[in-house]
Amino acid sequence: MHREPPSRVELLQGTLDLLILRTLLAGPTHGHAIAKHIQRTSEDLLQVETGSLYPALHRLEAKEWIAASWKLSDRGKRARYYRLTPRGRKQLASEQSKWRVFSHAVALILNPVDQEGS
Amino acid sequence: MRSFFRRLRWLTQRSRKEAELREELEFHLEEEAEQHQAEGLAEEQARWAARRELGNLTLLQEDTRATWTWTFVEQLAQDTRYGLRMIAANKNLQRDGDPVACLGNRSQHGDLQLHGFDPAALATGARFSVAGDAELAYPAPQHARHQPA
Repeated sequence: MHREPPSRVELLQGTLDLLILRTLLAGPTHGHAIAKHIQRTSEDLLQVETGSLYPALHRLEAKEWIAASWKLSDRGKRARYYRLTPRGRKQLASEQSKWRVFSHAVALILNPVDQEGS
Repeated sequence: MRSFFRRLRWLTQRSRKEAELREELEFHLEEEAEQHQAEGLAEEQARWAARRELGNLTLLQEDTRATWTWTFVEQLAQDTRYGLRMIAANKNLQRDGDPVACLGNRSQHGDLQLHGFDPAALATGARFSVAGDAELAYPAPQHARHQPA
């Protein structure tokens, strides 16, 4: 049966690259599985639109952060599998670090309890 | 330079890439339809739902094609900027003979700003691009830059 997803969070542009790279850290997979992994892992809060996913995958491939090759899927169909390259791995580390700094900064502003309480 | 030619070759294999993109999207459609079927929809309904979720296929293909060209141009520009900066830095180094002073000169000219990390751009959903030399471009921590005089 179809179930309605909980109200979803709009994915900020730029974060999609980070989520794709992080997903591929677990191993090579195809576009559909990447989208489903992000949706499932975020408890259905994030849904990657196909219209954003494939341009992003091809952009990351052009930047040589990921590489693609054709393989047979679990169901025996030919699928384009993406894998993280060494450059992509380095980029992921850099992006994760920036994201932590950014989210920490936003949290400081959104939760100024310590500063206001003192 | 080898990287440049690799990218150029990659860009020129357009017809093969177009066919691959079509096949890739067809695979996505089939996977999505099968998932809908597994969730209880009839075959035709499942296929229709998958097609609807995929959205405007022509637009999607156009957007993906655009990334092939745009990323190439963007990276070429970054590589050129980086190369020019390196030449300028070498010239400064030869002139001043002091690598630290040379770095200081670059900092004054804003070369050590963090490219691509613009919280305002993130908040508005604008493109969040990262310069190829991001590690060179990382800024000093805020607390270090805003220390009282």
